[in-house]
Formats: sequence, structure tokens, C-alpha cells
Amino acid sequence: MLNNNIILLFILISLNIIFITVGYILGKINKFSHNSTDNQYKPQSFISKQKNNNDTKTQSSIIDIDDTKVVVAIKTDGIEKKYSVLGNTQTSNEDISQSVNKLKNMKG
Amino acid sequence: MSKGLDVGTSYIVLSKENNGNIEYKDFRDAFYIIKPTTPVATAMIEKGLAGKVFIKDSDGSFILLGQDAIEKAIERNDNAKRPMYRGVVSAKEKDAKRILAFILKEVVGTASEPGEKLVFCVPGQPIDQEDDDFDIGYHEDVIKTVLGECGYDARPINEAEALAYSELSEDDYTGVAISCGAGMTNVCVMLNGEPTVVFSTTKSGDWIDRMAAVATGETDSVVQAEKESGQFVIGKPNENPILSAVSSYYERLIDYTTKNLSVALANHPLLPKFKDSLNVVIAGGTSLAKGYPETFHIKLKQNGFPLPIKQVKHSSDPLHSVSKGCLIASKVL
Repeated sequence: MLNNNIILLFILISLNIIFITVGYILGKINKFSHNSTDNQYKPQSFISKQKNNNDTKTQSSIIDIDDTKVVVAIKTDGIEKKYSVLGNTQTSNEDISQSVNKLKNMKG
Repeated sequence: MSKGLDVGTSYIVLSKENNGNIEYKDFRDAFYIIKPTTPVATAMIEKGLAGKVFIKDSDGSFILLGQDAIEKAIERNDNAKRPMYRGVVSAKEKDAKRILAFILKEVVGTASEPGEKLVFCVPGQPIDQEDDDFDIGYHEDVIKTVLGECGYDARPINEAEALAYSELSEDDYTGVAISCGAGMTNVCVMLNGEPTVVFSTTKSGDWIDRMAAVATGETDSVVQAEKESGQFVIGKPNENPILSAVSSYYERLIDYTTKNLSVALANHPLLPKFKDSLNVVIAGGTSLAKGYPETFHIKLKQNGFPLPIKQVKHSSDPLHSVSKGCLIASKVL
């Protein structure tokens, strides 16, 4: 009887370990096969984003803390320039007004 | 008046309209620090740097900028540093942020009027790496802060979306735009002016430099200089061992990029059903190598690209087209 209980216990513990291991492996496979573009996020065009910035923000029921990195002041004073010109300037004979008007008409 | 700004890992390019034309100002995004050890050394170093583009910092060190930084690094068998890595500024690199801020302010100058609109590009989220240091939001905030100090109302745009605005006008803003930069390759599939799929990969020009440098025992800066000489064709053998390595790694990079592109788009739930075949437009410094668009086209077909391709076009101005796209976006605001 005692032997049966020990065997049963051994089987239960082994099954537990097997299921946890299988679950872990399946989780890893699922993570690696998950394509990071294959999500519900549809990219918003630059122009739509600018228009939507003027809309009133909808209230979220989820309370979240803002843990984005803070941009501390980047001081560039104390730097002494030792050159006269920085960068190469060139002019291109291109007129973008047609492209701009086309895009404006498409976006409404 | 408004401006466009390509904040690239290798080049920073400002664009603005000037009497109906576009005026570009570009600068190499690199720096090299020389710390003199004695006052005599300080005087000698400063004399030796005459004619170069450099600055003197408050701690007495000399910082060469741009192409001069790369040339000095090569001279010393060293690597020039970059303010950005893989398309974004690192929160951990204090020196890098400061130099980037300085270069940006010098390139963009002060706004012609307070609140002048300036659109700058940012990379898309990469699909091939997870790195806590890669923080697009932080990168955006740093650039906005720096440009804000110059009086601009700065807005970010995805790099490949900007390229699409620049190059897909004749295609009614429908097609695929691929920006092959130094740090990253950015992709945008656009339909009638709306980006539908946007992503990036973290292997691009710098990866080629790094791998070829390891293969040949040279520094990254030396490899980069040889690569930019353009004396090679992708996939063709070359007597120069550095260029031979570069040519091989280019093939691997294009294979990797087209595979990722094909996998990312195949069965994508947001991918539109295009009725006509599409133009794929390529730009960026990494795409300047001879044979790039042709090899890209071949690899797209080999790797099962899921969209019908009309043509793989190379931008007529691969180094400036992203900046031009930012300028167009700034005009539409």
C-alpha cells in the first residue's frame, strides 16, 4: 500500500514536471513564431497623427504610471568652435509643390 | 517656411525650399576625441588640426567632427564614434548625446520664426531584436528637445513613410519604400498615402562594416572608407580582400532583409490586396553599392515576396530622399 502511494506520488510529480516543461517550450515557440508586425496595431500615417493631436483625448479607465525615460538637459555650452563652416550645402533643382498638393488632396 | 530633417546614424541631412528648389545641408554623423596629456601636447595637437572641423571641449579635449573624425580615426588605426547606434540615441552614452545635440544645432540653425515647423525622421520598431537600450520614444524626445531649443515645432515621422512621400508621388503614393541606412533598414508599405505595414530590421551598412572588419582584421572605419570608394560590385569577386568581404556581406544582408520582408508581409492581417503590381523604391547610403537594386530584386523573388513587383527602383538621390520626404510632410501640415 505504501509502495503504491509512493509510486502514485512519483507519477503525479513527474506529470507535473512534464506539463510545466511542455508549457514552457510551447510558450517559447509561440513567442518566437510571433511576428512583431502581426499585431492589432495599425500604423497611423504622420498626417493623421497631426490631425488627431488636436482632438480631445479620450479618458482611459486604466491608471498607468508614466515610466518613459526623462530627457535631462543636454548642455552644449562650454564647447568652443574651431571651424568656420560645418556641413556641405547643395541645391537641387526639384520642385516639390506638385507632390505636396497631391498629398494634401489625398488626405483631405 | 518649414524644414525636413533626416537624423541618420551616418548622416544628418537638412532640407528646405529655396526659390522653388530644394537646398540640402548634410553632415557626417561621427566624432573622434583626442585628449591631450600636457599643455605642450594641447598646443601641438591644435596646430596639427588646423583646417579640420573640430571643437574644443571645456575639459581641454579636442573633438573632431564629421568626415575629419573618420579620417583621423583611420590614421590612428582606431574607430570613429557615432552619436547614434542602430538609428537611435542611447540613453547611456552621455558624450554621444551631447555631440549629437551640438551637431544638430549647427546643422539646423535657429528657426527663422518661433515655432517654425520641422519634421524629422525616426526609425520603425525592429522585428529582429529586443534591446532595452533601443528606445524610439526616448530618441524622439531627445531630438524634439534639442530642436525645440532652436525654436522649432519639431514633429517625428517614420523614416520609410517619409521616403514613400518623396518617391511614390507618381504612383499615387502606393508601393513599398525601403530606406537602407547605416544603422537600420526601414520598410513601409503604403496604399494611397496611408502606411499599412511599417517595420525595421537592425542589420544594415554598419553590420557589413563590422563583419568585414572582423573577417579582415581591419577597423570598421577603414572598411567603411574602402566600401564608400565604390570599387566593387555586389556578388562579384574582388582582388581587394576588404572589398571582397564587403561584397559577400552585402549579398548576405540583402538576402536577410528580403527574407524578413517576405516573412513579415506574408499573411499579414493588415496587408492590402493590391490589384496592380507595385513599385519598390530603395534609398539610403547602403543602397549606393553597385548592383544593389538588381540583387535586391532577384532576392525578393527568390525569397517569396508576397506582393507583385512592377519594378525595383533606386531613388535618383538616395542620400537626400528621406530628408526630402520629411520636407514634403512638413508642407502638408
